[in-house]
Amino acid sequence: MTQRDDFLSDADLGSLFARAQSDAVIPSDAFMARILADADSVQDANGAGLPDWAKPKPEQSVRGSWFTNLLDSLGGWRGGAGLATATVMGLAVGLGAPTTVTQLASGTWAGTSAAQVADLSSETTSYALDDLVPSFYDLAAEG
Amino acid sequence: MPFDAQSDTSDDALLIAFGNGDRLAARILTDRHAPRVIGYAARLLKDRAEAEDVAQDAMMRLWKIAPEWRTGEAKVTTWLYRVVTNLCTDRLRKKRGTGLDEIAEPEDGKPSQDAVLMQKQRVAALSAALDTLPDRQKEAVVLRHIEGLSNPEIAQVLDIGVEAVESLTARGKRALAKALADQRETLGFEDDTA
Repeated sequence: MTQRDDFLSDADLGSLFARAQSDAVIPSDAFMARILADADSVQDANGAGLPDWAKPKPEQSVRGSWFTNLLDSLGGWRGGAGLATATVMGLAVGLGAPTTVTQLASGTWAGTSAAQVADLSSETTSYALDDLVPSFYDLAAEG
Repeated sequence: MPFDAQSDTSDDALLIAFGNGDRLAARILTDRHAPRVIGYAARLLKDRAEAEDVAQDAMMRLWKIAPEWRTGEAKVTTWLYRVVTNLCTDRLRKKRGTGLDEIAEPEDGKPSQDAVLMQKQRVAALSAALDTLPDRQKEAVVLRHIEGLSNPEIAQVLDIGVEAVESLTARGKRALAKALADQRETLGFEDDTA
């Protein structure tokens, strides 16, 4: 037996492949029906035919990013919006009335020099009620 | 968007339409791919019922991934072949050594003059010879020479390089040629080599 006889020729092997190609598996109607039933069930689960707002959220959005998780812990978008508003208001108040804060911290009126402070009597450096709560008298005056 | 069964609409577009709730897209995709998927699974598993299970599983995975499908990242065909290959590999590993020898061998010494029977014998002989190959060689040979995929496509399916595909198919073909050489007469090839 020659070396060539130890192997089927490329042509013969090719004809076997060609025969296998034509030997197609024909799927049954029942099999095709099962595939389509699966497709329908997936589409139903995804909310096919429903408007976008009514469709179930994908699993990924349930897991969410770190930002979504943070927002959820604050009570969702409403809680986050409330916190943001409070933060902005706090900044506005802090930036808009620094004089009062400085006054209370140093025990002097704005514009008073260090020398004047030294000469001031204990009466002027002591706090009155309206220094601490300046709006009290304003409110009282308005009745 | 209306489709019909003869539509030239791409698989990508159909899959996205399916993800958006188009039921006709599912029917067209099924008609296009289910026969191919079950055929490939049957060649690897040699069991019609198991092939149907695998094919159904693969198509189900396609339906589920549809909403996240990204156009241009992979071909639906290649993706399906890859899923089927992996599912079949898992099944074959589980039943290794228990069912692969149950393939009908051609009846030695009883060559039939009936052409139909001869063709069946040839397919059975090739199938039996394919089963003697290592899994990766068998998958590469089937994808290349029976399913008709290109080497780059096979590389994607098997998640290996193109050179590795070329090596697998070359070694696989040589092993097949050797395994089938002694059946040359039975398979009606004797005249070709005379």
